[in-house]
Amino acid sequence: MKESRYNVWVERGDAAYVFNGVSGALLRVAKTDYDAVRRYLAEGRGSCEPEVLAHLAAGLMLIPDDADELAFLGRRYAAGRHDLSRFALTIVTSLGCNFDCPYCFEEKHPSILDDEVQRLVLQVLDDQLTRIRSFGVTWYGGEPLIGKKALLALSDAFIDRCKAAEVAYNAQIITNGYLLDEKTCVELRDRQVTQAQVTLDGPPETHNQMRPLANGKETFSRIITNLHHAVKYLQISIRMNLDMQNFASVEPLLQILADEGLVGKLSIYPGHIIGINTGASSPSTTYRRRCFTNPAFAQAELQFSELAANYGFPRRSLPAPSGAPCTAVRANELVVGSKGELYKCWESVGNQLETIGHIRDYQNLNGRLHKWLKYDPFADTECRSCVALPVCMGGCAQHAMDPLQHENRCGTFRHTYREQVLAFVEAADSSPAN
Amino acid sequence: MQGEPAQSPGNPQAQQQPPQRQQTPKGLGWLLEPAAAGEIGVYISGVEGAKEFTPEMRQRLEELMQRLQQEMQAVVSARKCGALGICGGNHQTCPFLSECTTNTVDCPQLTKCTGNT
Repeated sequence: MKESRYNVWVERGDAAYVFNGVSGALLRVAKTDYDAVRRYLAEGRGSCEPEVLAHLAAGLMLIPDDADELAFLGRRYAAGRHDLSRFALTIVTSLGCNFDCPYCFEEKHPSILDDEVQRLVLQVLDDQLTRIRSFGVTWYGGEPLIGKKALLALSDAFIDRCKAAEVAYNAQIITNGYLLDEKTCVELRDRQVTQAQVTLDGPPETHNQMRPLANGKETFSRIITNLHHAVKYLQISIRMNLDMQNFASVEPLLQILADEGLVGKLSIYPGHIIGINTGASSPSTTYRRRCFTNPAFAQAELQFSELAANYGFPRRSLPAPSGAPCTAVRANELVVGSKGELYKCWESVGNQLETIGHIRDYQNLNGRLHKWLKYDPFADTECRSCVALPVCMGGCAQHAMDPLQHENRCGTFRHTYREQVLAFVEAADSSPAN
Repeated sequence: MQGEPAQSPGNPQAQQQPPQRQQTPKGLGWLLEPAAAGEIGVYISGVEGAKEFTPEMRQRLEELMQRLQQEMQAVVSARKCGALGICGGNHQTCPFLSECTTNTVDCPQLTKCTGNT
């Protein structure tokens, strides 16, 4: 019997807590039992409560001496990567956007997904329907609601086809929220779009600088107006993109959302602005604000979460065990551009140097696909020795393969795992149920 | 656009609240329970003070459970796959899967492989 390398222990009061990334379980043990377990593991002798050992084994916190956790995670990653029972598309209905955010990484060539590309998308789905059990769609842009006509038409066709084939269908949307009027919310709800991510980067004076309309006008007040009805139809998740300059705007934004009566109706989380420069002419190429380093962002996220919880917004949980973490590295997922061009990564949208083919010939993709499906986080020595591996599985492949962004491949758990576990424990201890 | 959504479809724990603890008298107890063999764990966050699900929430939960049931069936089925069995359960060295990674998303090898379940 040995201890899992993916255990995170924290102590609080007269108890110790252990989180295990492979199982996603979190166990509380009495301090005396914790001391006995430590002694047993270090010296191979002493007595432990059998019930404690049984719990630790059930949570994969204690494992057989010959267990190879890296090999197990490798199999989990491969199974996730090659899961053909699920098909997923990220669909750019409009690469054009009504916003002009200075940190946007997309090189935009305004275009709407036309009838011919819609027909080809449906043809691809028809190919898949005989063998899949679920189909997931993320509506993406540019701004996807500029291409609402295509979004609604495709949704109707997806729902009909999936229903006939007895395939589960789900959809979400990433939108700037400006066009999310009540009629649109109803239309989305009726098309089985259940979740929407909307970005607010601070109170009006900050947000309107970071996320202005293409004509330079403000967007904050209209988004807030839209949120009031959107929460009735969709699960809304607010993303606040952070850098060192707008971090001071976190609390003013939370205060506004609280004053608007939106606590308990939506969730909020921070996003990490990264100065991506692919050589393409995207706005982010000349973004001059100061981006957080990856470890600094992890600290900022902790503060953000604490502030948000103080205002009554739901805490994010501990990260769950992961398989292959995103579309880019899953074999049966694609990003469809508005002209039918295909990508593997959301961050590639608009970059012609990253297209892997065209939807009219999606079974004959070019060699760029290989780098995504051959990307192996288990070949990275840092990942192999990192406590966060079971929950991030290498993190962002795009950043991992870019020497300038390599450090930004990681999620925050790598840097603040103890703090995250402790915060979760403290929240659990202080919840009314306890 | 910037970044991925808060909650991915394959990550049901992404926005959960701490669930109620089940403690033994000794203070031993799960804050997040592991899934037992043949089980999956789902935690549901809710508005503080809420005592029951709305009809819409109930319907969503039903849909979620149906979807999970379908997806879990796929996992269970894959373990029975004869082709995967050749590689001794090690997917990284399985000739079917390794060939698939050099092919397209619609790799016929892999289709054949999963079709054997």
